[in-house]
Amino acid sequence: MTAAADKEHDDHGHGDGHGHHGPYGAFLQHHFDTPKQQYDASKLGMWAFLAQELLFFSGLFVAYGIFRSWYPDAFGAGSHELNRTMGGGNTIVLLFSSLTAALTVRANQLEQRKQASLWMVLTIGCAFTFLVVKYFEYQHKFHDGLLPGTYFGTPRHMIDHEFMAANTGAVAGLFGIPILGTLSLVQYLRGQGKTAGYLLLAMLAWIGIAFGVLHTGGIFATIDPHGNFEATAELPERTHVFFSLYFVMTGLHALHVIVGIGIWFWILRRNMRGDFNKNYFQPVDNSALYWHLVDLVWIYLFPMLYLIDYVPPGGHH
Amino acid sequence: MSHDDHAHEQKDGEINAHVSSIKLYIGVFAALIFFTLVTIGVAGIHLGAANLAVAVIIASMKAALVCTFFMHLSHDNRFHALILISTAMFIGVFFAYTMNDTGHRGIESGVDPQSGSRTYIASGEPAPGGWEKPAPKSGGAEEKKDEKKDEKKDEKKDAPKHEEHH
Repeated sequence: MTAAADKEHDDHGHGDGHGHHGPYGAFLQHHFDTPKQQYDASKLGMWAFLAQELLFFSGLFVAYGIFRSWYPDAFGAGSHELNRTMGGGNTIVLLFSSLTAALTVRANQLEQRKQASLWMVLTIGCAFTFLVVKYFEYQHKFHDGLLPGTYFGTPRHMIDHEFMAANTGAVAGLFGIPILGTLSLVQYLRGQGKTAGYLLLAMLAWIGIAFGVLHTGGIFATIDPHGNFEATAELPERTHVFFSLYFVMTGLHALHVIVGIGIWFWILRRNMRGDFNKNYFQPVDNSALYWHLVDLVWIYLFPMLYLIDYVPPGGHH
Repeated sequence: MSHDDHAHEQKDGEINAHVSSIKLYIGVFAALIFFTLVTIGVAGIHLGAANLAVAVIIASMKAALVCTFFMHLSHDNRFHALILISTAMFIGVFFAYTMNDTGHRGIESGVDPQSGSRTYIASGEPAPGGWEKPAPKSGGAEEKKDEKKDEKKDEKKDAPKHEEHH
């Protein structure tokens, strides 16, 4: 701690900045003067993060715009293969979870701890419902061979496992192992054995995830012996582009839902522990802001992917 | 506890975030459901290219409701709204400039109606920045489709040659 900081804390009557919380309590970090200042700073940071999230998703939306303008028939036909009932139902589930997320913040503002917990549990329930529906949708697409990119309509025996293995090796070998391995070594040399161990575990997890993600298409295609891939031949050329975007966009969105579930469980635990009060609820507020963003992305994804106007050559069936 | 009571107890330095009523939240939720049903209903009407525009306009109205009420922008620091609006603006720039490029590649040339690739009218060859026809996949049904296409493509390639003769 610098001399200047020491002096500032002396002004409050104590020398120990870390142990002293002023008139507010342990929730006020020592580098903030008031709960309001802490709340405003935290919220500003959250909005900067949300802006980043929107820009990050916008890349995919621009890709969608380009490919849809190039291949309108493929997008219409691809969209026609999606299940509107499941997509629409999931939209309502997600909108409802946004309502419960807003209500959990409100309950925390009013220090209604039990009500806040109830709204959090409902939010988590909606998130799981969303994922279960998504799982059945994905399973159906895998069954019909409506897979992304090169795997679109590919018969089982043609899945290129060597290509998959090469990609797995590249993702793990070029990024995961050098980055996390170096960090782990640095921490070990600094005498932070525990941190080094965690980083090593993270590296193994990275390799595992790279392997899992890159093999998902192949594995699902392989384990579905009743897959009917012939129907994909009837679809317009480049419908696989639509499904590449469908899986990347909804997959990335689903990843956000999974992260959101983790966040809500953590917030629920803290709420039940009694961490929050009317001067300290920004973890709840920020989690809700994140959750609303996940909802916001889906609000655009649903009509863009599921509701493209399309009349198949033989009329509606 | 009403909002006024809350403000009354307010001490300097405490958080004075606005507490909205449950009624308002439920009203916003009802409006969101209403717009979802509208967007599903409108999707069934054949408006051509306008379908996408209508879908995006309705989605944006829903997004505005979520941001204003659920995300508290109505009673928040205006700077947060500025962050959101400037982000949306930059996404607009991203869209406009990128699609202005990709939408006009080889625009003076022709378009192959089969593959959608941009082609030079004179030679029938792919224009720069356009998409080349992918190599035909192996497999029974695919091959049949590609054969049909090749026939049509040959017809097309003949057309410009005729022009040259004239």
